[in-house]
Amino acid sequence: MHEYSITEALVQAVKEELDARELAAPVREVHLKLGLFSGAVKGPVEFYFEMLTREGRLAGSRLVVEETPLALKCESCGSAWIAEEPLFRCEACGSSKVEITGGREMTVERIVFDDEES
Amino acid sequence: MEVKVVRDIMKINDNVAASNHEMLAGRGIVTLNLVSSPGAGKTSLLEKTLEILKGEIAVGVVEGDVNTSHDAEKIAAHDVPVVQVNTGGPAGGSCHLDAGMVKEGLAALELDGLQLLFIENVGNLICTASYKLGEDRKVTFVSVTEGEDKPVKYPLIFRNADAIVITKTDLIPHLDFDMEKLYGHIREVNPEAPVIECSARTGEGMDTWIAYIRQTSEDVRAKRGD
Repeated sequence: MHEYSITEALVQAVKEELDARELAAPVREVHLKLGLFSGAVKGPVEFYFEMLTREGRLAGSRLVVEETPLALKCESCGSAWIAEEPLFRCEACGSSKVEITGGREMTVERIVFDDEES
Repeated sequence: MEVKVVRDIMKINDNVAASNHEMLAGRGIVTLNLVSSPGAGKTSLLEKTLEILKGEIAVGVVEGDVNTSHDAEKIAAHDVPVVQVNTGGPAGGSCHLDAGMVKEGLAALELDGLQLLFIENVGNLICTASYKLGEDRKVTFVSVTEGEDKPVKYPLIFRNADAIVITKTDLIPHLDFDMEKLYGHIREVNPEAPVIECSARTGEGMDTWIAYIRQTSEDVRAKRGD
């Protein structure tokens, strides 16, 4: 259920970016990078985005989610891999010194505007 | 037209968490964020901890719950400063504490002279993993009644843990519980964090938990240069 709070933060972040850049054109798409190990799930975020943007500055905009896999890198032998399961042991050398290099993202990547209006 | 943004949406929370941390660290307070599923025994363990630390370390507590002040009342009976933060109404509410809620809670807590602060998070293994509160360390609790595979079912909260405490170990004789299996699953997601076994009821293992608290306080202070 924390996807609701996360989506509220997403909407607030987008509004702040629009204000900071003094962009007034209608927003068509908000592109979000969402890591599979971020703790938030795509479906509920999309649902709440639709709900939270029925009115106001982002009305009519669409959320486009790009999910990123859990990427791991071994600090001992340097090998890197995409993990299907969140298991933190190096597949090559067995070391447990494994660093997360991707899959935790919750970032607004870009905002697309309605060209006709802009 | 489009604009590139690349903005972390947790930044709003993380900035408040950083300011909480700065304020607490400035007062020389070491902060532990305690997370677990509901009913893992955080409050009982905390009560026992307060009994043991009484007279040695000045402790304060932020109690997070969706509803009621039952836990804060239990803690207040130990004569320590405590503030209850309720995250929702009777029909349910926010499933986690965020940094802003903790900030409000701290404003209502007598911080003068405190050395150690426990933030007892809302019982939840999913949402609490995403929110920094301003803590120095995050401790994840898991009770022996929950099954050995909790760490792999909820990997993020166990991966993010600086320490993992296995609670209610006095119940093991009554359960089909395999400690080795639990350790195996913990190590799959978090190979490094210290694991502490204890029972608040019998007191067994409490010395290890208390030693962890003392050592962590020393480590955090040494790093800060207090």
